[in-house]
Amino acid sequence: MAIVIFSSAQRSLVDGAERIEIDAARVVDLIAALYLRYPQLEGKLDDAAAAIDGDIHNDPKYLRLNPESEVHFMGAISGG
Amino acid sequence: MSESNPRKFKQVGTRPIRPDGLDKVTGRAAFGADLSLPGMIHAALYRSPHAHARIISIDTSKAESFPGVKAVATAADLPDIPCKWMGELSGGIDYGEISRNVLAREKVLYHGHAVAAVAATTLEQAQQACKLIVVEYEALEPVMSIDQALAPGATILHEEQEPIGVKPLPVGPTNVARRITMDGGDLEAGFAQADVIIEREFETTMVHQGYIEPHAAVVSTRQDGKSDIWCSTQGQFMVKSTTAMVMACDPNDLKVTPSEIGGGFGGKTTVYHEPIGIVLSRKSGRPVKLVMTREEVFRATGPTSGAKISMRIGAKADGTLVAAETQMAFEAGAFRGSPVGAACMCVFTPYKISNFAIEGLDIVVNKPKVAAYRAPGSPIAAFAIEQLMDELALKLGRDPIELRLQNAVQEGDRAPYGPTFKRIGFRETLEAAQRHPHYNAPLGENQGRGIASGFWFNGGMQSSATVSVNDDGSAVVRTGNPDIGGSRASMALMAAEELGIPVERVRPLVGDTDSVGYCDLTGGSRVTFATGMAVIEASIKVVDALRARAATMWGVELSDVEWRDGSAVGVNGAAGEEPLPLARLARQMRSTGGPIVESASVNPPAAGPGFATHICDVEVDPETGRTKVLRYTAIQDAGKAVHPSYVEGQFQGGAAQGIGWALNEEYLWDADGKMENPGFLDYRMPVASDLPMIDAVIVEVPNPIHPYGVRGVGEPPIVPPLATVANAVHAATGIRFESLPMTPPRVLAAIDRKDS
Repeated sequence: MAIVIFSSAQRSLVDGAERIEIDAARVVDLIAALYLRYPQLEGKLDDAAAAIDGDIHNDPKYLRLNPESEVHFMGAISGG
Repeated sequence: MSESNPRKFKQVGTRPIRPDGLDKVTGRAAFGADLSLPGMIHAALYRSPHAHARIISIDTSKAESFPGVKAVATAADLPDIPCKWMGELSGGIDYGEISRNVLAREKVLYHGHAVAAVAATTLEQAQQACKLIVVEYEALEPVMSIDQALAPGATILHEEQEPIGVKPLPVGPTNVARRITMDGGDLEAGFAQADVIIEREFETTMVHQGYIEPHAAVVSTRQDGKSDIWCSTQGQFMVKSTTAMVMACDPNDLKVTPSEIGGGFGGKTTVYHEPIGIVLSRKSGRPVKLVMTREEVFRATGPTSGAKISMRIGAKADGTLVAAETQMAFEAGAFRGSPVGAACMCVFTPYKISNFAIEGLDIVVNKPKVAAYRAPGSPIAAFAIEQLMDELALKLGRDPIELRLQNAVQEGDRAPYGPTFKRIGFRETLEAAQRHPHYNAPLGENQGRGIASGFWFNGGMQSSATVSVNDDGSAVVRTGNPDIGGSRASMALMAAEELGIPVERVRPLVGDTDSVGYCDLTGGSRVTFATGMAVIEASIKVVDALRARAATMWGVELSDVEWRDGSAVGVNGAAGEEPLPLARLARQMRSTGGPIVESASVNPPAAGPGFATHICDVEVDPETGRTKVLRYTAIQDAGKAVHPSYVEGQFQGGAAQGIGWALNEEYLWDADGKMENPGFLDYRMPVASDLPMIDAVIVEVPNPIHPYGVRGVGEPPIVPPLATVANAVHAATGIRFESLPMTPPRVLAAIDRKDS
């Protein structure tokens, strides 16, 4: 089960949850499961970056998850 | 790369002369304004004389009939792209606002906002014709500060715009574009544990990146609607996609060639000229050149935000941080999108703090729309937290480095923005500072020493590279990232390392959008890391191809051939064969399968967190308030320095920019919102004679996600200097400066207040 940790900015969209576990093989599957569980989140993670087990991916959608992967959705990292 | 079994490099880590160096020091290199095409005409822009006004009408008829004028453009010539923020949780971009920044549509939102453009046979004719453009305005009150923007009854820049982000959000028309929060633990319980609480308010002003080369572009649109764009940019593919969005055209109709670039620091990561150039070239049938003056660069291109920060931290008597809280309000300029989000993510990241609350506000004001500037947002945040850390050390009677070491994050700690750190080198930079002779050198009268640290994520993103072998045994590396900081040299070194040939035998090229695979822009400290990974992968494929050619020549299996020091070496069934150097294999390419050309593309995760610690000595003249930087040391974890000279150059450049930000740089506005100092005489950036030689110390804690251990290095060195200098000035004067810049009049006034 992948572990999703929500920031305070995201918690208002997920009934206040800080951390949930979801069975998902890929990030795209995880996002679909989150949208199903929290309809108010619909569309908001489509282009989100994600930190997966400590590494920040700007385009994580089709990355595979390990059974115990920890996922944080976040703003994309760019810079100057 | 493994830290316990480091790779022995032969090319990487050496300091060859950069391939583009000779052209740049002899004036042969072609920058944005250097291109000329047959039949080319010149454009000038009409810019707003108001900082805030509604556009009632624009009459360009007199300009159109002026001698030599070939075309005129206004926002009516651009597609009316609706304003829509793309992405709420994922950063974002608004092409409608980019379009309105290129040419104002409903309103002008800052003094110097482009309203119309004229292209004529000569630049002088275009400039004269601009003066004949008549714009009727309804002048509005300019909003020139965060306080003014947030005041009850404030004039609103974007009446229809709803704020986004974390609730509660302001209700009704507001200049707050976005609210961000981050928190962890129990803030009140944390502060209840604290024996010492320190609280202050800080303020920084808008500053410009100050790149030497102004924005410049040449655009040529053909009869079939396809356009060629040559421009000074940090990303030719970014120009292509952004211009296509603003022009609502097929990106395939645009080919973008980057010129050499005279600095960017994030300021050349958007478009200003290119859509206007397409309109003017389409109308005139001529190539059009657009070049900004320095004054236009200051008035109309993106600086970084001014900010107001309130912050408090709490610690136990033994120095352990237990709580931290901040509210940071950042000026976005005329359109939303300040770097406050990144500031929120960076502000407390260097330290283990279990209980924290962070709030960030993105505020629109009637100033130029901000653009990225080297570690956007992080230097401003560090100016606050690193001064509080200095004050905490003084209150507790602790050495400031020891206090930081006690609280420093390391592998396994969780960042406030979520993820758990892998191997990072923050502690190593602090320990290197402690060991450095600078840290314990004696100081004289009116002198003081400051230290501060800083963090930046460093980017990953998409990159491509193609490596080809020439029949003389040399190689060409093609990538798609404009070379700002010596990246050609780094690409050549990495290819040479894998191929096993001298770096001088590798020619690195930067291609246009039709000639190379896609690369995200040069920014985010990502090129040596990510594009370098693509070069390494493509070079490994070339080596595999060369091994296969040797196997063909020897009539053995591929597994019987290894690659050592630039030669194919027979093993197993091919043992005893005379090694085949790359040059001999290259000469046989025709008869062993044809040319060898290999490409690779990558989209790696972010480049590994970067940490820096700086030491600064200053002397403050009590008679004049002038602060002289006596000695400066910049220490940073580079992971692995591919070309140490350019890594050191990044450290030194970041420190120099940060010192200028701390001591002198600021936009001065008159009562009507007009910038009063749009030139380098009055906008005071440091020059070589203002600074000592900056000592650069490279710490190398390998990045585990890069084959050589490379981390990004370009941005972290601008994060600590603001606070480093402020801490040094405090040490010299006993005065804590909460506002920037610490100009001589301000320092003198503070000394006088203290003495009285």
